[in-house]
Amino acid sequence: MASFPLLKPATTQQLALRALLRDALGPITAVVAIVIWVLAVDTADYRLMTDIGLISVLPLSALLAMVALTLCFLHELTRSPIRTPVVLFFIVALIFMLFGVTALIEPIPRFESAWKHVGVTDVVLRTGTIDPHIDIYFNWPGFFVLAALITELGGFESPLSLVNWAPVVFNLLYLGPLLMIFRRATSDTRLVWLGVWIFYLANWVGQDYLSPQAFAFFLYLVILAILITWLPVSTASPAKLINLLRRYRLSGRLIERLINWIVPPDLPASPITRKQQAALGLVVVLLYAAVVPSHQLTPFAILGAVTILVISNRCQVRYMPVVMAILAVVWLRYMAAAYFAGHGSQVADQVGAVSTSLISNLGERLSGSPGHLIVVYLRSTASVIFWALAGFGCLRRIRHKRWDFSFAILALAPFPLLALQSYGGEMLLRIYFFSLPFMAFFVAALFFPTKSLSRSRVRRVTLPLLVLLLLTSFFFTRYGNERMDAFTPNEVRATTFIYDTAPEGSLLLAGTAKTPWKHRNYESYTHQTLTDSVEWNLSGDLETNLDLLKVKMNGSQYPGAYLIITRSQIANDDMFELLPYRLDDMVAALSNSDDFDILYANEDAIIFVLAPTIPEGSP
Amino acid sequence: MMPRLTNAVTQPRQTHTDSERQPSKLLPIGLVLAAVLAVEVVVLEAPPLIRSSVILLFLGFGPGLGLVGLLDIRDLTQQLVLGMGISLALATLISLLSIYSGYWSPLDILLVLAAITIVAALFQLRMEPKPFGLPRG
Repeated sequence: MASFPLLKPATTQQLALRALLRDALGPITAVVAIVIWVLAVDTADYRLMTDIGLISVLPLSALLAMVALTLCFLHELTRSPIRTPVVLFFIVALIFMLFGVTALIEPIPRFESAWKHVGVTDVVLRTGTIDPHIDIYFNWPGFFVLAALITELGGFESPLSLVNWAPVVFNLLYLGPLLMIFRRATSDTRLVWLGVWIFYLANWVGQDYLSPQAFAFFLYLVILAILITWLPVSTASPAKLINLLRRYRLSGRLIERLINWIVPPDLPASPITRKQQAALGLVVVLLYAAVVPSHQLTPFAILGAVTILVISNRCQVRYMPVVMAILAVVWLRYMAAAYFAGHGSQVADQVGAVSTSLISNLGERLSGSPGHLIVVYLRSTASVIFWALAGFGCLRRIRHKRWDFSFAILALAPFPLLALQSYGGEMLLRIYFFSLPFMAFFVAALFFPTKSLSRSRVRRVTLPLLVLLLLTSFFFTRYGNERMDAFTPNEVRATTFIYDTAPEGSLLLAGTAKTPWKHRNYESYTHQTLTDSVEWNLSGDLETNLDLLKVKMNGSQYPGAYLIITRSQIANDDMFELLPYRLDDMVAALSNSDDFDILYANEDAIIFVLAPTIPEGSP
Repeated sequence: MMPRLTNAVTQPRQTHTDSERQPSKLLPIGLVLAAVLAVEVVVLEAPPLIRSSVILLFLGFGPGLGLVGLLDIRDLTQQLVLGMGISLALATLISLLSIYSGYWSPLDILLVLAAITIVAALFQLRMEPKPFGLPRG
């Protein structure tokens, strides 16, 4: 008869080793994924990007590495307790991969607005002054002054040194206040960490580059974190209100249930003395006072959020909306007066014009090349689905008797901003950004509505699916326009040539705004684009319209006039169809025209000037 | 003495031995040193990597952590978040005051921020010693 070998029981040492390996597997996998990711993105050639952007050149191994990191994170959420250092490591790695990818792939800092902000900062550094008549940015100079301070004290060669990694830095800054905010609504660490993860995956709006918005958003989060953590209303009773309604026979069963949901405090009370309340109130005022001179829109987003918290009896500091409103109005009236002197009626006309705002935010964006349209539709669809999921998450929490009324109203608080103005067609993007922390929380709450540790088969399938979907769509929605947002060294050589050559006061014309310019001597030149400053004759041919261009560049008020057309502008025009004629065709026509000379050319850029005019009668 | 700020549920009172109280002086002393170091790296034009690292850390945390220490906040995340927010806000506002007053001097702005940090740190040292960082238990 055969005998089976007996299985020896594992020794204590073997069990300990197995536990150690099990514990280390996630972090080790994540480290390997990061290494693979770095090596993979190093091979990406950004010059080969198509109209769907960065995803068209991102190696599959880089995406798979991110999938591996995501799975490590989700696996960590199943542990009890969750290891905070490990999860933090995963999140920092995610931030690095999502927001640092362009710094590794592209040799030149991206995004023309970042270059413009460098130029504003450069003015502060060189002149030590603020002239609000130069540009709108000089009416809200707080961030630029801070950037100048950092550049000067930090010994950086130029503010351009701060551009590349700014998105990584700002997203790291957001982590702290996000944790503070989410921890107020729940002690379930799974929900907290998942909310944070989803925030970053859904942060595709790209407002975290070197910009006043990115800085102001950080202070927005800190202000809300303080108000939610230490200054919520600690006691409230619906009874008084219900009794009042009953007295006037205005109550009903549904109304009373609604009041019972709305009125009770949903955030835990924090014992706090009057002195501490006063001190924290002062801190909030200090932070807000730094936001007001730094960004045009964020003060009103904060004011709206705080007002709603006070009105709904969610915030102790009832004087705060008044103080904030006074600070905002004083700045507008006295320090931004130059801007309103020139644009006051334009701004006033937009107040209340919701349909106009919607058209400029949505309708005008729904055009362009097929690749670009994919990106646009994906952004719109992803946003609507995200908000819908957040709504379901909120309802799921209510069903489990978790009253997140404060978070619900903070998620909706930014939406009335649409009635304020279109913000250059970007208001919906800003609304999405301001509401994102709370929307992300509710999307995460779909999967963890309570602290129950019961395993759910549905969650085991749907959670990874949603997270991986968000991860994939991120590279379309955030970097979908990268073909025009990225710049090449040759384009920068061309703009450097202009700034080295053109006399001060010259007219610098670009095909479109997607140009790495305005970073030097911003105040000394007139910068315009063919899309905004030329009245094209749509019924005429290209040659006729070139005459319009000639007239524009021949203005006697300019000591010189230069037209620069670059690869990124051509990509911009291809994707958005901004001009009546393709920029490629315009370059060919200008090159063949006797009225224009080529001053400088390289593989990615060309600079035209007017041909010298020979006076009549000259030999 | 300012009562301790706490989160949702009031934490049980903890008794501390002298050795547990010792670390509470580290932060204010560290802040004073950081303030002095920040000025030194600029005045002496330290190598770029050292200078930029020290300045970024100081401007990002120094003055704020000095003032946050006076609020008796125990949670590390909350300390860091408030510290950063207050530091950056102060740096922005003092810089604006400087430029609008017609006297733009980054070094003088740094000296003001360093002074705020040092004064706040000295006040912290005068306060009753307490553990720094996450509460035990």
